[in-house]
Amino acid sequence: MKPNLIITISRQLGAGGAFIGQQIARRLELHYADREIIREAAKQLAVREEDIEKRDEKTQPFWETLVQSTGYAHEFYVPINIQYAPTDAEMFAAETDIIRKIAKKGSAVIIGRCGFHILAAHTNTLRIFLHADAKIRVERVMELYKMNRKDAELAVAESDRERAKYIMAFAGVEWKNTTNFDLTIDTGKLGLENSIEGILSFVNLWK
Amino acid sequence: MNTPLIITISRQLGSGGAYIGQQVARHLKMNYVDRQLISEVSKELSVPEEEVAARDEQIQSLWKAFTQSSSFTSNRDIPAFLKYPPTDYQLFTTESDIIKKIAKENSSVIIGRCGFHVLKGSPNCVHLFLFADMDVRAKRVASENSVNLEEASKMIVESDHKRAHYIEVFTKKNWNDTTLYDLSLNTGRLGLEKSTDLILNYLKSLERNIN
Repeated sequence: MKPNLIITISRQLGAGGAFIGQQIARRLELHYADREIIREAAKQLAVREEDIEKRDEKTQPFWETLVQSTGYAHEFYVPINIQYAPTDAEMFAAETDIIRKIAKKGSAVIIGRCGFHILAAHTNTLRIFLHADAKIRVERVMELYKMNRKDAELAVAESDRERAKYIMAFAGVEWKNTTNFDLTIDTGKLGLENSIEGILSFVNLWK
Repeated sequence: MNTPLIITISRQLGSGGAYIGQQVARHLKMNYVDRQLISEVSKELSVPEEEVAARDEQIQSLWKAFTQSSSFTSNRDIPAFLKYPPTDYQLFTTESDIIKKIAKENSSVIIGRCGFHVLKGSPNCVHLFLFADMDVRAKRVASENSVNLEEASKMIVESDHKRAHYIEVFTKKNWNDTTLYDLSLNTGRLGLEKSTDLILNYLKSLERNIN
């Protein structure tokens, strides 16, 4: 039996990764996994989705991990309705488990969360990285999230920093290293629709 | 007159970059420009001899002074022309000039020589990076050079190191940084023929997007 087709999409904020991923999933009739990963992780860790959402694809600040590890002054920093805050490693382990299950269950498009690394050994994985110039990404973030320019610039810069740190911490590689992937595209230069066509063209040639 | 289309290809040894570059050039009726051609042109360039000598001397003495001084410890902020022997630096400068000149005049596929950097921001210019997994590359290098896999792997590691270093020194960029390129492709996944097709498809869509 042919292994499931898995397309992992790593992306910079504002490069159109979610849009492109959804379109690919629709056109190829694949399962689309994005928010689902964090929702399932919350379930598995028995915490509320909102409580780990802000930590999605980030590492925790050092001081938080310190307080967490010593168990000191819990009520001081943890909102009262969280009894237990998972560590970064626990969150990553849960997400890894969920991503593997998704890949086992059927063909899928998987957005972010080290998917390229977790499923690197899966024989039928296409690993994609999508990037664009900061200027273009800022415009897109402004439009998508109704932000002003300054906030969008900050969001893009912070996301780049956080994702790079997260990937280095858990995959042990540089986020932007092209050799982690099979295909990388500057979506700003090519356009979103054409990027979708490009990825579909890869899948067709690959068969 | 339209600006000529320029495709720069940066590639790992054994990833089939030269072959793919030739195929793309053939399909699109473009010039194919590789290192050999650039260095031949660079030799042919007529420069008054006194000028070369004077420049040589100046760089040579600066370089000597720096390398011999005890402060020559940190790699960080040393200009490329001091870190590489003067001849290399001069070669790089000359080659960059040649690449720019070629790019202005003819539609070309330009392989290596930091083309992505030299032509950064130029209109109608596309930057590609081609790579593949070690085992795929070793097989190709072994068959092209009639060596065994072990020797081929050694050649690859050496070449990766050399190219990365060269690019870091002259462009201050990390060779593997995907954001330097418009498209990068693992040629081992599709094979060389289909990789060529993918790139041709890509160039067609790009043309649509720009026009």
